[in-house]
Amino acid sequence: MRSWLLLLPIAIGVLLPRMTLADGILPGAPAADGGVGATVLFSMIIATCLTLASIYGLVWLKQRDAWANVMFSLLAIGTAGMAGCELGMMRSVSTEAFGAMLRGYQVAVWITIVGFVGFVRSYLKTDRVWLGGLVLGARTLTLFPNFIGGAVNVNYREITSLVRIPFLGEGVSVPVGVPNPWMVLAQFSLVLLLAYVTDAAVTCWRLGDRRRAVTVGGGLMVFIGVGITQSILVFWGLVRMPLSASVFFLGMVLVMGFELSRDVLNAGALSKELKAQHRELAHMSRVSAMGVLSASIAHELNQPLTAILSNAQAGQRFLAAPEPDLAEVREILKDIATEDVRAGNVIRGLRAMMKNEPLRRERLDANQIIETVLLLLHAESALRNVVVQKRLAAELPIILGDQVQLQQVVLNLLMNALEAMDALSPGSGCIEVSTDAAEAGWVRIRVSDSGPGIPAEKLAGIFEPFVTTKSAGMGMGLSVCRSIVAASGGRIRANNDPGGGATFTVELPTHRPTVSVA
Amino acid sequence: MSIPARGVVFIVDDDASVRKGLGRLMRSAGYHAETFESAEVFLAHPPADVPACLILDVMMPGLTGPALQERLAIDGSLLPIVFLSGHADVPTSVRAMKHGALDFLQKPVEDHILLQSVEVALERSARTRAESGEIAVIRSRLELLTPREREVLEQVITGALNKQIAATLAIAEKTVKIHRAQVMRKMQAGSVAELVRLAARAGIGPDAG
Repeated sequence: MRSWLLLLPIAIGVLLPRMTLADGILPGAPAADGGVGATVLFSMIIATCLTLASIYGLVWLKQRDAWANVMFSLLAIGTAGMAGCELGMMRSVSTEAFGAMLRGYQVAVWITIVGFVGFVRSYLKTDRVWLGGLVLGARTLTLFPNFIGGAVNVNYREITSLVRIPFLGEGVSVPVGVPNPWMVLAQFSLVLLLAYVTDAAVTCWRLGDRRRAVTVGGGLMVFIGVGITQSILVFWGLVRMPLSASVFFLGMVLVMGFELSRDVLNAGALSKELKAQHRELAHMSRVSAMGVLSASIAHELNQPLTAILSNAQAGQRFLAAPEPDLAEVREILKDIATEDVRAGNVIRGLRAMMKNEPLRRERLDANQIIETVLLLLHAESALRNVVVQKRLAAELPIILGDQVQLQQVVLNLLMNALEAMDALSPGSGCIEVSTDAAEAGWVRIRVSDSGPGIPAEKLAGIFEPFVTTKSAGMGMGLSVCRSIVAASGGRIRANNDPGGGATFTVELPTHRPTVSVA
Repeated sequence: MSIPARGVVFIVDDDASVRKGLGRLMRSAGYHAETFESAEVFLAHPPADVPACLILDVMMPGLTGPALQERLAIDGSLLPIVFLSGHADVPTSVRAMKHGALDFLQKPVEDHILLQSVEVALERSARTRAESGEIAVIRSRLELLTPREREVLEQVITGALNKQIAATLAIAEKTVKIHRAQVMRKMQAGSVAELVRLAARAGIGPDAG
């Protein structure tokens, strides 16, 4: 969705060096020989790392418990800093500037390692905490000789001169100087880090998560091993090449980024599957409700069919009379048409409840939803000898949602209310269904019954699955109601009325027409 | 309507369109139809003094069809009932029939089936009305008899001879003859056989008394 962000590093990688060459934004001197290979490569590393850091940082902002994401961002920022300092060093023309860059470089490495340990801790979760603490402690210690004491930085006591060597087609500076013995501590911390990640990867492998052990643990081990080797060789003056650990750390960043994106994709697939299951559950619950109502719905259909048949046959008899009363026959035909429409409405309502179609977000009138449900429940309430009273607001704002699912919510609530009437003596039960828009921005639907109410100990968890007050209930109806209402951006609650009985309140947000962006 | 009314058909159904349709069907077949939206409204209506029957819905808010049937039976009504149900289960229909329903039909119902039931119901209504009229006449004649004449009547219908009756009642045979002539005259019976029939109609059997 934000894939265009990935084009950013390429753009920066191409543009930044050109701007640098022209305006001197980056520190240091432009290469005398005109080559830009190193500048382009390291600019791209910086851009890639910063882009990934911002993407996963955004994920963390929306999902504060995604600690692996924030640690990854830290690691990527640190790596970007390393790449920046490395580039700065390569382009340095004075030993002072080089030394300062290297000091800053140590801070970037520190950030990277904090992010690294934090990532292993929060993502693999198989590490030894004390070992991680040791790594961080050792690395933090190296910052003291870096900034305090007479040395230029933790790596060099002093830098005597800079030598220009070719690197990636570009002339770059490498230092000549006296190594600082404290550098051993820095390199020891890197070895500890390698041990830390190796240990975590091995434990991960033993616990059976071999894929993660190989991709994350193995990948990190390789890149960190190569990075350590290079820095040891360079700083002790064994090999003359510019420091480019960030290239290997970029490898780690990419490995971790790949892992995290797999998780994001998995989570996406999982949530899609969950949604599909929710829909399936809602559908099953509807079908079973229709099964419960089948006898009364058949009766509801029988009425118009009976009226149609007797009207039609009466019409035939009237027409067979010597002087047919045509006015009467006309009336009969009109009534037949009306009754046919009535039967059709019942069947349409039934079919809508039975079908399993993808959810829609349509503009709906809450009153219409209630009328449709009452049509399906008419015979059922008559059978149970319960009066359902309507108190519907004359004008309601439009709400957004799936018509069938919201009908299901109302149907479930009304069926529960009808069943609650079983506890009362026949004919004494009363149910009221009402709508209003008392609170701005919300449409409220309330279903109240005069039944025994909800037992106090069950009231709090009444919307949880498998919680039921019925002897033969599965406890799914209200749970389904809650997920439907939540999916429509609404809320649902239950309470017992002071005068006895229970009230269920559903509040749905009204549709605010938005100006579409052309 | 040019067709003469052949009896009153009461229709009790909570569904207005069904009431209207059934009412039309009855009128098209030459009956006079009266519709009621509930059992309660029907009960408030004075009973008909012409041959009549009741087409009754089973499932209704308030008093249901079977409940109305029970109420009518308690009131001693002789109105034949044809149940018309959209939701007929076997126990309900069996109970209705046991309690004297004439028929138990399913909605939607074909006109010839319903009209046949209505025809039978109206015939039965006419007959029970006639019978109840005849019984009332016999009862009024019985009331004219003296206690002794009543005793003689009870003996005569068992087929006893005058001599036997005289012995049983400890009276003279001549007196029995006089009482017997009075009974035949008051009961307006031409023969002993007719006297037996009249007595049976009024619920006095050979074993009675």
